[in-house]
Amino acid sequence: MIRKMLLGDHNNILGINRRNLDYVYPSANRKFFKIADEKALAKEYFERAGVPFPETLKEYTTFTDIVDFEKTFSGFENVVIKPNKGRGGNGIMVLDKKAENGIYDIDGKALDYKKIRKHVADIIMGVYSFGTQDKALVEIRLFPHEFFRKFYDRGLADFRLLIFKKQPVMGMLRLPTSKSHGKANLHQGGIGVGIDLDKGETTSAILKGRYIAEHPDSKVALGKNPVPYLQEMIDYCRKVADIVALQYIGFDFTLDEKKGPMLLEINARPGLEIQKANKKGLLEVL
Amino acid sequence: MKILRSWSAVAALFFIVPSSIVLVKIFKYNYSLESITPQKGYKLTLSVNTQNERPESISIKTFAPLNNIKQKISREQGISDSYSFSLTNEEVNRKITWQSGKISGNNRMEYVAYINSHHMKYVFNENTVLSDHIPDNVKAYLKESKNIQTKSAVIRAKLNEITAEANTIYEKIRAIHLFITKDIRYINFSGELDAESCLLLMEGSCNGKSRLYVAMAQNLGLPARLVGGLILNQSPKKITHQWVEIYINDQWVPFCPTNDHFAELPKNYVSLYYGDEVLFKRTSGIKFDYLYSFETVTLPRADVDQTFKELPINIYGLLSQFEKFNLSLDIFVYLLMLPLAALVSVILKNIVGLETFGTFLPILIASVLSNTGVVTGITTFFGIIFLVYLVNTLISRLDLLYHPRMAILLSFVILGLLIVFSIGLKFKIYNLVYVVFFPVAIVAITINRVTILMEEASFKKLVTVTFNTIIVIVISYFFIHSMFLQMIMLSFPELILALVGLNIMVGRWAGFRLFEYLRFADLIREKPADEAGGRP
Repeated sequence: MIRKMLLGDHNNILGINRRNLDYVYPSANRKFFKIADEKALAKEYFERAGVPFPETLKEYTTFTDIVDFEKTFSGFENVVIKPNKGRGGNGIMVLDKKAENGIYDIDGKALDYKKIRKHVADIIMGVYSFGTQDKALVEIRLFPHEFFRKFYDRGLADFRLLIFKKQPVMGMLRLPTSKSHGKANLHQGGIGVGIDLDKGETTSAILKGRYIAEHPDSKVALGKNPVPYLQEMIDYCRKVADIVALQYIGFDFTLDEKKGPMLLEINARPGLEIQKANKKGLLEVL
Repeated sequence: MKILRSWSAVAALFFIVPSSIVLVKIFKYNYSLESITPQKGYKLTLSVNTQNERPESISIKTFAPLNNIKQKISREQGISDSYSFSLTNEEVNRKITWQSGKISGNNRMEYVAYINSHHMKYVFNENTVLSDHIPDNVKAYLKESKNIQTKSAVIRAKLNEITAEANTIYEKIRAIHLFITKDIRYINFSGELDAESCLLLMEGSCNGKSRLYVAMAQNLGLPARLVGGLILNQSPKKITHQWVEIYINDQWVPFCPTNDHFAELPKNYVSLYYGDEVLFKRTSGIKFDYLYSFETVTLPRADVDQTFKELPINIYGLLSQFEKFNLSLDIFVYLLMLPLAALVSVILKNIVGLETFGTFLPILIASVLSNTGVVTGITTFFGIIFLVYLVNTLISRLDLLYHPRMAILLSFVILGLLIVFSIGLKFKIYNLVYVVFFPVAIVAITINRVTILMEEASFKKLVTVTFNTIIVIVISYFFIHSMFLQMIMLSFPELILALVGLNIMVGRWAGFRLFEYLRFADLIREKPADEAGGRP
């Protein structure tokens, strides 16, 4: 019975072992895995591929960079500070308009430059990259597209598109909830909404492994919503796949209210939960 | 397909090489499973308590079990807070001496030994012809003593009477045996009785019967001696036993008139001393109590190193080197077991799908559990995780940098271990004392893994991973400490290569993890199988 449980066809569901052996590892060049881990490096590739991404305004790499912090930073407002190697959305500081002696954060609290400088120092020191030295990126802040705001107006939602051998195989919309503190990651309490790539609309949705019909905060129905910019995002994926020697890639896009699709990052070992959101096994489409 | 062929070829190679060596060992050098598999033996504990009011130095002497062909003693230990322990060979016996400084109140000491014991049966029958040769060192066993009156006229007369029709040495000893076993009544009497009195009263305990036996055998011109020991039939016990050994054709042959063992001795007889000795010699005027307890344990065969030491491909040479550097053999065995435990943890991770703190942390903890005790070790591990979680949550408000935060967590964990250690000492809860055996390297890795998980995942995940890790620890513990597997790995260390082969196979395993079956259970049930089969 255990043999059947382990080896059966399981409705074409892809497991971790097979994903790694048959899709992730054969992608040949492991140096490209780095693109998935380092945002600054990823942006170089995105630029070469001609794909829009949130522009980096400044990089703080060493402690000498933050000596005259106020001088170098005071020109900024509506920016996001991110660790280059951060994972799971940790270490991201979103800043709003300028305050009297600093900048407001998104909760409307004024942060002085000392506080922001400390955050940048933490990133460089490796607080968000498990002790390895890192750099802090100052990016332009993106504002959620109307399509996202319809479901929930806080945090930043995104799309996950899975590409295998330059073909889109599955897609998912990830929405933050009041319980996920603005984060769209599924294991942090975000909602995963399946996307029918042929029809271009949303299908079923899961929250913490359970199927739901509407967003718990706004009560907006999650299924049958036409996905804007879908074809454009797929085209961007193909452009990146052309220059990155990975055959199996997860792309994370967000939609800016004015700029449209923006590629945030790519993932060399995309998660398998997307199958649950779509109620469909990946082996069916791979 | 090409990849598939190459990895299976590599895996096959890793199986063929070690199995060839194993086969050569078995067929060319007669390694047999029977000669390497462990056997049931005993863990014997003697605990002694003393009590005295005025401070004085106390000495207690007794005997450690004999090391001979019937019983092999290993891993002996004397444990006490207040007594120093020493073990010395005195003539044929092995003497334990416990010596204290000036002490008072209740004090306790313990002696622990592992004993490989066999049932021994000697060839002694009508065809046995007695040789005249008696070595000088055995001649002393012909002499009479205070309680064994060999020259007694009463004893001689009785001996002549019962052996009147006996011709061979076998028939004579058989006659003595039958007389003392059947005709002398057994009485449960804890005091002593000399040989002559035993005969006159026609009754005796094991002590009196055995003395009479020795006296009669010596009368026949045979060296004979008392043996003092234990019958391991119930635990704990205070009652010791005595039987007889007679020197027949260059070997000491055992006889027990109390339980009618003739030229044989059961496995559960453990000899403590030869001769008409007193079990304990001690400082007088103190309260004194002792107790023997035992449990049945699985032990490596005592003769295993003897059998294989001379073989060309073996690990015993290395083992003896290890001992020269004063390293514990246990460490060597654990080293040998780690690759196996690693495979087990890999299978639990990649095939069952148990996510744990790191690949090796569970098996490292499992390998130290024998020092800390299973319950203490796992509780300590759990306690460390809890403490790290607590302190890390509290200090996260301070927004500290990564490295100093790790150092703070380490300091708190060490502090915690020391507090538990001192509580254990203060209240004599020795289980707690063993927390200090938890290696600092493992503590450090644990702290690291827990904090990483705290950053990346939810509390629920932390609990799940902790629980999984404990499961993997317990399972690998049983693999690492399995005496049978230890003996297999000691005899065939080349099997480490086969483990590599198995790892290659697991490394190419593309099937579901057992837990993924649960994770995707909804989806698997969603569409019935016949519909899936309908697709082109």
